[in-house]
Amino acid sequence: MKKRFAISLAILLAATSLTACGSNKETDTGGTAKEETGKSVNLKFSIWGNDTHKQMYEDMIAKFHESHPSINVEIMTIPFADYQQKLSIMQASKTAPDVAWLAERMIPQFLTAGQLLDISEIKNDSAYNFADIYPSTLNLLSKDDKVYGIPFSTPPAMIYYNKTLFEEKGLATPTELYKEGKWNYDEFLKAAKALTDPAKGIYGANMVRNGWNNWPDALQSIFNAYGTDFLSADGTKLTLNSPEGEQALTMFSDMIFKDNVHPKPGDQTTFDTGKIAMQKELFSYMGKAKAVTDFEWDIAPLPAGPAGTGTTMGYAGVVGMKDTKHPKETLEFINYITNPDNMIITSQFFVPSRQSVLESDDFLKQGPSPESVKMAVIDQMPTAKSLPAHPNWQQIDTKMQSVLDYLYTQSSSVQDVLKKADTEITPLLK
Amino acid sequence: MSNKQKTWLRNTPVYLALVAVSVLVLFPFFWMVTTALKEQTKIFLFPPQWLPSPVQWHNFADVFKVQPQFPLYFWNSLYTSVLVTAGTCLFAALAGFAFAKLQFPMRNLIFLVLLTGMMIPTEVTAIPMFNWFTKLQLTDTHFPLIVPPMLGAGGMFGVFLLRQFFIGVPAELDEAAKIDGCSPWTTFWRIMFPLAGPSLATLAIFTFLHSWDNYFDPLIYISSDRLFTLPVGLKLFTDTAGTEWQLLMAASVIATLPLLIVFFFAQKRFIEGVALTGLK
Amino acid sequence: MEYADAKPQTDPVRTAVRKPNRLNKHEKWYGYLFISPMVIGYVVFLLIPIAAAFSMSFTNASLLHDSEFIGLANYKKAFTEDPLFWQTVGHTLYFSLGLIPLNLILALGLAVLLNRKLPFIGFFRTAIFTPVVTSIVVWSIVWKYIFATDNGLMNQLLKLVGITGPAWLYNMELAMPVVIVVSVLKNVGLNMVIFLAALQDVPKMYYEAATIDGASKRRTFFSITLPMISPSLFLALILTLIGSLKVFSQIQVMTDGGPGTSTYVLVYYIYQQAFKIFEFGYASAIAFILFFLVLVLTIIQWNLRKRWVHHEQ
Repeated sequence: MKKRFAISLAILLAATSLTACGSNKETDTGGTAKEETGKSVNLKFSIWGNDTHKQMYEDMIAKFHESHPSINVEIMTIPFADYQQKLSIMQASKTAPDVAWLAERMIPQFLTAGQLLDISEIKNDSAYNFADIYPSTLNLLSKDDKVYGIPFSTPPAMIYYNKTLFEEKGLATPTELYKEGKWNYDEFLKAAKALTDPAKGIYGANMVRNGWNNWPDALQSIFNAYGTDFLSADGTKLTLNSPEGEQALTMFSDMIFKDNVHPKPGDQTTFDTGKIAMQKELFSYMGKAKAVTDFEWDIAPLPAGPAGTGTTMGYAGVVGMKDTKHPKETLEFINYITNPDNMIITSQFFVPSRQSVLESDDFLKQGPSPESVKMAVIDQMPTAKSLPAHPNWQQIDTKMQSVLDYLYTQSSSVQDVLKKADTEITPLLK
Repeated sequence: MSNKQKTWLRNTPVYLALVAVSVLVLFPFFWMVTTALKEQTKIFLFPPQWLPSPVQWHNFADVFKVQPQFPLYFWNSLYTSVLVTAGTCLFAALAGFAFAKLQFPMRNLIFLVLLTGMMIPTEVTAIPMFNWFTKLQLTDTHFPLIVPPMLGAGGMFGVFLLRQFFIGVPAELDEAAKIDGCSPWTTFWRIMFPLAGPSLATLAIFTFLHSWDNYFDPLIYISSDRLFTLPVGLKLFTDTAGTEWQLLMAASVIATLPLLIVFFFAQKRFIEGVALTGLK
Repeated sequence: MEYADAKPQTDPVRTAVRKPNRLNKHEKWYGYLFISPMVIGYVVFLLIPIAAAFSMSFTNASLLHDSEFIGLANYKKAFTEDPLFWQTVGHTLYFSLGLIPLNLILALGLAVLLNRKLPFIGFFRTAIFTPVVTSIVVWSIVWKYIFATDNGLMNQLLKLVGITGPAWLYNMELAMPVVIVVSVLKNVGLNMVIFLAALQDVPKMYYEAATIDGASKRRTFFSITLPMISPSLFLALILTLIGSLKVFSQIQVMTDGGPGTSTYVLVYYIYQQAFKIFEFGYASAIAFILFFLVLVLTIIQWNLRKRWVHHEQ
């Protein structure tokens, strides 16, 4: 009676309070253990990658644990679309992971807020070979001569194309056109039109990756190819509202609505279904592409616009969060996963920021062929530009998404969309 | 024409109307299940293929391959909902009994105050609560999914419901118990609580459904993949499923099946419960 | 249980006057003890948060920076400086005014149809009620894919009759109507069941009297049925209205406030301000405006109840 009730109430309360421990169980144990050797430390590592990426890191962590038996690492996956938002929340609630991936657009917010761990002492480790990392890739993660993270993925955007479709129609492939110096947006559109087949549901081109809200990945390289940019270099002006910007956005809009060679807004058709002839993607797509068995494919650089190829570079770095309770172990882990040997391993998905790895024969073998990797990746690195970033990125991004909807619903002309972007976003740039 | 035939003829328009609306309302379920059983390429056939052939039962297994965390989402939804339901029923019954059968100063005033709680939208209270949970490091745990619903607006509704029930229990019952020397506790636990079966069942069903379906709270509080509940996990799936609609639908079927099963077994009680609250 | 069969041993009138004894003194404490979880819950999860939200609405509280008192600036911003706020209010009202008539009339019509003893009538009642117990997220997801531009079932059906369907959820004019229809279908069963119970509760003698007087079906409906079920009508109206002002899940799942900002509703705006850009101060102000709106409507309902509702039993 009373006893039974008391027991069930106790169970209820216990169960409820246990839920409060949720994900903090791991990091709490480290709090009191501190620097004592022999006491195990648990690190949390957040990524937005897919399951193949996670598996790769799990294997790496297993090996790391062998040489560092007191350190355990737990991977936390947060979807890319929510990543910056969720990480901000965790940072504010002091439950942030110890180690985290950050994309270029996310870095300024955390860096200017002083929330990243200074890992400059990584330079002192001779085995780490810090000089091996391309200096230009470190700009985003450096401030006042201090290093706050290590870039591990700096992929130039490129085109994955369905070779089988090209051969069926007897068309010159992007690779061939590139070698002849004729690979530009005119040829791109010509090929797209020839390959689009509504009856079979095949689209000639798709510039959208990782969702229609991810407009930087879809549009930035087109902006660059037409000689404009989203923001000015100092991040205080929206430079998109210009004749070049109009040209660029019009071309994209026409691809979807006039020439009908591009999937309609909201459509999530992916390259590996064989329904896209030419897909703009990053090197990290290699894992999914290699799993394709129904058709042959290859990679090629982006087509050139009036102002050049405008290759954009994806960018991801791994950082330590300043509030970590285990700065020493965090540094060791970051050191480990970005050292020369392990960057060879991550290079199967992520274009390495280390010269030794990028220019190695091993890396050339990570793609469909050494020749295509050299052409689409290595040769494009010197001119590749990273995507726009700004400390106030979350608000800018949200506003731009709703502005672009006016284009996607065909409610406004390209000119009006650009004017709208100007009025809505400029106030956020100060 | 016989009388029976005349009845049928007269009622045909009624049936037609009902069938039309039922089709509209049940069709999504049909579409969801058939899409879940189709081969991916057959989903986009035109003209649309109404019944899947071949039937791909393995799509359900594939959901777990693509989203290895899916069973975890299911479990998270299940155990949080069970806890909320159990807690709400217990505490609401306790309070409802006290308000109905026990005497203490300001009893009715306190009850009315609690009642106003039902009017307070969670959207308003969520903001400061989110702030505090953040500072208490209780975000990204299941705590905010369990305790506030149990003792917040949902709890108040439960108190109202149970008090209403207990008021209807004849006073002779607890008088007799008192005379026999039962403490209020014993009266509650041994007599009243078991009697409240029907009311509790209604409350339990409402509460369980509400918790299972809760989208707003896990959306704002949970960041870790492994703590997601079904609604959030499913929404996430829509972003990553691409054109693999068959997997998305299969996952949706799995997510919605428990509710439907509970409903089909309890439908009479459930619908009556709803109707009765409406009448009061 | 013995107690259930116990015969009253005392005069019910006299027991109303409590005889002071040991048990009665303790009863008070038991009373407080039993209600304590809910009272504590009320204070912690309802009262204090609403007060905190109120005070937060006068600051620029944020997750990302420290807060300072700014008086009525948030409210001023909402009412005079933020065009999106008024758009959001407009969208919310559009949703409500679209949903309520559709929902109530359909629910009433269905209840009338179901209020007869025909074979299989129970099946229809259950069928139409089923979406009510389905997860709103699942319901929204399924309909989102039915209304997908290419390959969505809706457009495929239209294609069968030679019409090229529009991009339903990528069209600023159509997105909200689609959400309204999806919402109506989900909840019409609830009101239908409430109305059905009310209809069945109307004493037969009224209808018999009407038949004797030679009243037409229409006359009977408007003069007898409607007034008799007016309490339920009113309840359904107010519940549906308040619920519709707080719509969120289906918007977030189907359109995410888009396209553009054409499906931004109040709760979505609060969500976006509070939990995506973490401006707690401003979000609290908007939340309070919503709360105020709901409160006013509830009070109006309470007063109108006396005037419009017939026969309060």
